Amino acid sequence: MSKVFGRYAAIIATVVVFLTLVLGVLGLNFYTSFQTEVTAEAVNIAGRQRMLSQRTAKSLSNLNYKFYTQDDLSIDIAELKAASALFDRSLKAFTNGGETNSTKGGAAFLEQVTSDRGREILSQANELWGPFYDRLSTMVDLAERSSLPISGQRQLSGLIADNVSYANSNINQILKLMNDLTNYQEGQATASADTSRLIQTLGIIASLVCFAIILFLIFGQLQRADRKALLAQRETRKIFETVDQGLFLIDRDFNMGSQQSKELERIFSSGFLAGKNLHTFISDIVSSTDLEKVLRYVRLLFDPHKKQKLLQDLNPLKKLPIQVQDQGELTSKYLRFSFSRVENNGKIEGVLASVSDISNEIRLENELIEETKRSEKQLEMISVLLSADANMLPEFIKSSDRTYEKINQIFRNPARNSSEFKIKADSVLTLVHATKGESSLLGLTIISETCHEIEDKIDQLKLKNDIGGDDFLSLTILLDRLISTNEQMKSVMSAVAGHSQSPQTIDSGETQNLIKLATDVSRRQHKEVAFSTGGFDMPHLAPDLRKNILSLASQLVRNAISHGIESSDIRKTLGKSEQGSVKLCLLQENSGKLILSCEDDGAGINFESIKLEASKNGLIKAEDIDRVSSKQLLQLMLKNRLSTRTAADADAGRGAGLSVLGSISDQLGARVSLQTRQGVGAKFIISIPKTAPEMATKKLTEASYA
Amino acid sequence: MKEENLRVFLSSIVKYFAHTSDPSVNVGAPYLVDEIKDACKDYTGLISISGDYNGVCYFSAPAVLLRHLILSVGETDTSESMMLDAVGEVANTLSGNARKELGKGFEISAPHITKGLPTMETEGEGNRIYAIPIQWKSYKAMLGISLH
Repeated sequence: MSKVFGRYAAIIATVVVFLTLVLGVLGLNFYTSFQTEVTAEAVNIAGRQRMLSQRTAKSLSNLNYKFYTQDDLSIDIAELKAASALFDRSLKAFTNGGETNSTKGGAAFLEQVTSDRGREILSQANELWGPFYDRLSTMVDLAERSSLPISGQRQLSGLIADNVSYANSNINQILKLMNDLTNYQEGQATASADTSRLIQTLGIIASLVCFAIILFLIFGQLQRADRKALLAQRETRKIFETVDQGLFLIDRDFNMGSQQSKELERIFSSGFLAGKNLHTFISDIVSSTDLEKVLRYVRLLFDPHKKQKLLQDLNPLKKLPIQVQDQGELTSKYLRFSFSRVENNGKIEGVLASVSDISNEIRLENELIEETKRSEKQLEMISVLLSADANMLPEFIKSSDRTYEKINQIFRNPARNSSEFKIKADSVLTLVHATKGESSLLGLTIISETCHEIEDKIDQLKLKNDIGGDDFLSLTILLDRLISTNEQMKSVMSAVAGHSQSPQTIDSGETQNLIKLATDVSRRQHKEVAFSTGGFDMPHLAPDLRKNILSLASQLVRNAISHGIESSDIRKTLGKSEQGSVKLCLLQENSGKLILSCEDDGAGINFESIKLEASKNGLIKAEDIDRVSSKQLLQLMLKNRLSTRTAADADAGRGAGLSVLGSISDQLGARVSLQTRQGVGAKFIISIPKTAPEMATKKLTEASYA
Repeated sequence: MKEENLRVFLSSIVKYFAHTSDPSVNVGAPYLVDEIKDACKDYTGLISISGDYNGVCYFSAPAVLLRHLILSVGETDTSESMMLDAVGEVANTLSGNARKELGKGFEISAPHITKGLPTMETEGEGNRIYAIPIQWKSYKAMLGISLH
């Protein structure tokens, strides 16, 4: 209040002065009117004095005449008495101030004439009138008596004659003096009116000046206010045009205010947002769940019982996904909303909403996450490669690339029905199992685990009665992952200087890999195994042949530990040493033939179980079970997936191991033989002919384009 | 790549043909190709995807399939523009369903319709295309998806 008074103090003071002046002028006007009336009455009374002096003289003259003609004197005496008495009263009122008869009837108060000129006139008039009025009064008293004696008659006659004589001598002078008095009064009235007029004019001029000052001050104030408002408006507009946030007000009914920042239009890719209803507007661009979230939260903001700080902390709209049409294209954005209450005297009048487009932040965040993931993957890959056999990696990548191509080709080959899809799945399983073995041998668990996942998917797929192409979706995704892994390995290897150009020599690394494989499988199978190996140091072998021999070796070791070697408890019960033995050996005869053998002291092959499994799978007829030889059973095991295990794990259980062994042996033209005795152990011997490398290359090529 | 994302596109195609004169569609095993040209027929309707994932999804069909499709709905005009319209309609279905099913992390463009090989290419190493053979009647079309 005091601020407002301070701001308008000059205007208020001027208005007070103006009003005072106006009131002063009005008061003066009132007073002047009153004075004019009084003065006018004085003028009229002064004028009446002239008339009364004449009337007195006339009445005296009539009385004189009627006295001598013996007429009735009463009328003239009354008129003379009244005229002279009124004249005398009025003259005294002018001289001393006092009441007299008004010209309009009633009484009139006359102020004492104080000016020199006035006093002079009145003094002369009183000098002439005083003795005259006394004589007249004596005469009238005598004349009014009902009967006069002769002496009285004489006295009256003398008084009349005396008065007539006095009147004749002085009445004109008295008339002149009354005329002067009238003129004097008129002059006084005129002077008073002039003064009043002057004062009124000055008052009006002062009022007008005051009014002009008020207008000037108000206009100046308005101009300043307008300038300030304009400046504030311009600043607000600039802020609204440049602020990088969408700003707008919302009322209780979710109506958006008329003032909004330019950024808001850009964020929502829409103009004309002013006055729109937030509920209606955003229902088109956010999901129904998010819409409900927004509305609930804004309602809470209007609840005076909820603390704003708490609400700000709980704001669920810090990352709101929306979809808007931008130049005909549907665009996804992420927005961050924040709200502040707009209060007036503690009452919530509205909510100020600010919106930021955080799509870039989110995109950067996602890119960072992706980059981190990529880096982690690369680090993981480097770690994998560091722990893997560096010499064998290039060859593995090459061969696995070929395998993946084969798998992709198998997917691509058309299948007309469910059984053809099953065959497709089986073919993939064999290839994947071989890759699993090889990757496992090199310590590439990232690959062996994916291969294992593919095997699991294929197992589940085969349980279905009706298989279609869409059932292969997950397999294709896993194949994609395997290919990507190879790409990452190549990328990391090429990044490591000279790594990819390292000479491919056969050294004890392969032996170490086999030992590591045996150790890993033993640990996974919870078995104690003494593994020995030798003869793998053959630098002259062709890479393809070497890879195939290692595949065979890894399948043999995996098979011996998973299927052959019993657990320590069982071995103890059987009177065997708690630690099983697996011996893997590669020899080259003078003829050039290679002999790969794997011998264990485990449970040996249970041909009866194999027969039952083969019979269950329809590989041998029930009536032929007793006639089938162990050699024939071995061939069945090498050609088909037969497993006596009830559950598959990472090392065995699908019967794929021996199937892969048979497949590779076929490719190499190798002969597989088996020596086994149940409860004592088993020994696989694979004889690889001297021409194997050429044969292997040829067969692989055929397989690739089959 | 997630299997559920692939299934969204695949089921769009299956649903589309479910409303034709012959609702049965045979889906082949998906395989991988490096470029669109490796899995492309005469006419192609392609949509671009951006946002959380980037890539393309397209339906490519031989002219004979589209001709049959047009005739099956009672149209007699099997001109090139009609065939482009037909393949565009399938791409629109893909686009619409993708918007509905895949959520807000996906930005789906309007379909890009071409005769022959689409000019748009999938970029970057490892961005292989999942080629899913679609057989309607005796005609073989292709659904291609590349998301990364």
